[in-house]
Amino acid sequence: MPHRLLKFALSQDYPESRMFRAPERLKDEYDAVIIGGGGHGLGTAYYLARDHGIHNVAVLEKDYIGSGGTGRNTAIVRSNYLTPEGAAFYQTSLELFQDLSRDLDLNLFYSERGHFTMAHSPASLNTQRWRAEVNKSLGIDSRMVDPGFIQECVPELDLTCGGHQAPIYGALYHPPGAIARHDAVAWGYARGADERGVEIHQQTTVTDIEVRDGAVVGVHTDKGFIKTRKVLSAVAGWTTSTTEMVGLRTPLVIYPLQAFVTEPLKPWLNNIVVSASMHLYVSQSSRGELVAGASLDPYELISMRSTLGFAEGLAGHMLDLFPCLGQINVMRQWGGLCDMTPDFSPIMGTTPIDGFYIDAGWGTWGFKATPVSAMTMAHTMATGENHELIRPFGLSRFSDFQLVGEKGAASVGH
Amino acid sequence: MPDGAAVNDQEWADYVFHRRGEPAVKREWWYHIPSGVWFIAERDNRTDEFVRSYLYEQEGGQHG
Repeated sequence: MPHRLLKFALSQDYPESRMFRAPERLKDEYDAVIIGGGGHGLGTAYYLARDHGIHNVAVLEKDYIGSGGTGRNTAIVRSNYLTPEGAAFYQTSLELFQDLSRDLDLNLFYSERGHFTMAHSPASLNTQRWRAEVNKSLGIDSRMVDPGFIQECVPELDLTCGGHQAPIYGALYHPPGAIARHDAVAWGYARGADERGVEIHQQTTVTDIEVRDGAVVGVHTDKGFIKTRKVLSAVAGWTTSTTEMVGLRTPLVIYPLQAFVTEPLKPWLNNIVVSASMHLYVSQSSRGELVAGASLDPYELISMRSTLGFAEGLAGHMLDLFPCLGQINVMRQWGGLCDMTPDFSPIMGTTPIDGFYIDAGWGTWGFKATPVSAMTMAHTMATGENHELIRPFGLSRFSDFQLVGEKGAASVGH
Repeated sequence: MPDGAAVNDQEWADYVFHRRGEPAVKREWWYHIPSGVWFIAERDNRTDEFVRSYLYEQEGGQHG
C-alpha cells in the first residue's frame, strides 16, 4: 500500500482512468439517442447496454452530467407510497438501490436511516395510520410510532415544536428509508454505460427532433444531425422543450424547488425527519451536513434561482424542531426545476409518435425512482412495449381519466 | 373554453389537463394582501418579470 502511494505521488501520468470518455464528435447514426444526462437518462443507457445488448447509444447532455434534478435533490429514497401502482414501482426502485453500489462498483454512500413522517394533530395521526395500513397491505415496511419512540430515536427533536406549531402526536415510520450521494448515481451509471460502448456527449444541445410520417427519424443538435429511430426524452424540468419539438401536449407545469445544506456537523441525526404540516424534510449526509428542503415554490417559474424567503422560512421551521441548531450556519442554497403532473405520478413510456419515448413528470419525486425508471425505460425502448411496472404511468392516462393519485405520499406542502 | 356538452372525452381531457408548457408570458390571477384585491398579471414564466397587470373589469371581463 505505501509503495503504491509513493508510485502515485511520483507518477507523471494521471493513474486512474476518467469515469467516461469524451468522444470528439457525434456519429452519423445511433440505434438509440437519449436526451438528458441525468440519473434517469444515463441509467437507461446503462441497462440498454447491459441487459438488452444495445450498445450503439448516445446520451446527449446540454450541460454536464447530473446538472439537473439529479444533482439538486435532497437524496431521500423510500417506498411508502399510497397506490398499488406507485408502491410496487418505488419498492422495486428501493430494492435496486440497495445493491446499486455493488452493481456499479462505486460507493454511493447508500445509508438506511429510517424515515419519519411526523403527525401534528389527531386528524393527521389518522391519515398516517391509514397510510401505514395501505403500505402494509402492499408489503411495504411502514408502521405507526408514538412520541416516546420518536424521542428515543431523535433526542434533539423538540416534540412541542417550540410552541409555535401543533406538537408531534406520533409518526409514520418507514425503516428502509435511506439517503444516498446523488451525484455518484449519475457518475456510476455514466461509467457503467461508457464501459459498455455508450457515448456520452456533454455540452451538446438538442435543437429539434425530426419526425416523418408519425415516426422519429433523427435528432438535430448544435453539433450536427444524428439519424436514429429511437429517442428518449429524459430531461424532467426541461421536458416542455422536447415535447414542443415533436408537437406533443402534456399537463406539465414547471415549478422551482429549493433546498439548502448547513455546515458539516459531527454525526448526530441518524434518521430522516419529515414534517408534512411544517413542509420540511431533513437528514444528515455522510459529510455531516444537514440537507433540508421544503415545499414547492408558490408559482410556476422555469428558473433555478433560490430566494431569501425560502431560506428564512425553512430555517425558522427547522429551529422549531431542532432548537439546538440556533448557532449553525446555512452553507449553501440552490434551486432546481420540477415538472409537476396533476396526480403527482410520473409520465413514462411510449407516445403516439413512433420511436419517441418519454420519461418525465418527475416533479419532486424523481431521485428515488432513478434505478427503476432506468430499468423499465430500457426495457420499453428495447422491446417497443411498455414495461409492466410503468403501464399505469402512460401519457394517455389523462385522456382516459385514469390518474394515479399520489399527492398524499409524494410530497409535503399541499 | 370548449362547450363541455359539445366536445368528446379526448377534447375535454385535453382542455382540462394539457397545455403548451414552453416558456411564455402567462396570464395569472394574483392577490394583493394589504388591499384584498384580486387582479390579473401577465408574467414571463422564465424571467419572472411582470409585463402588465390590470383589474378583471378593466379588460372588459374577458374570459381565458
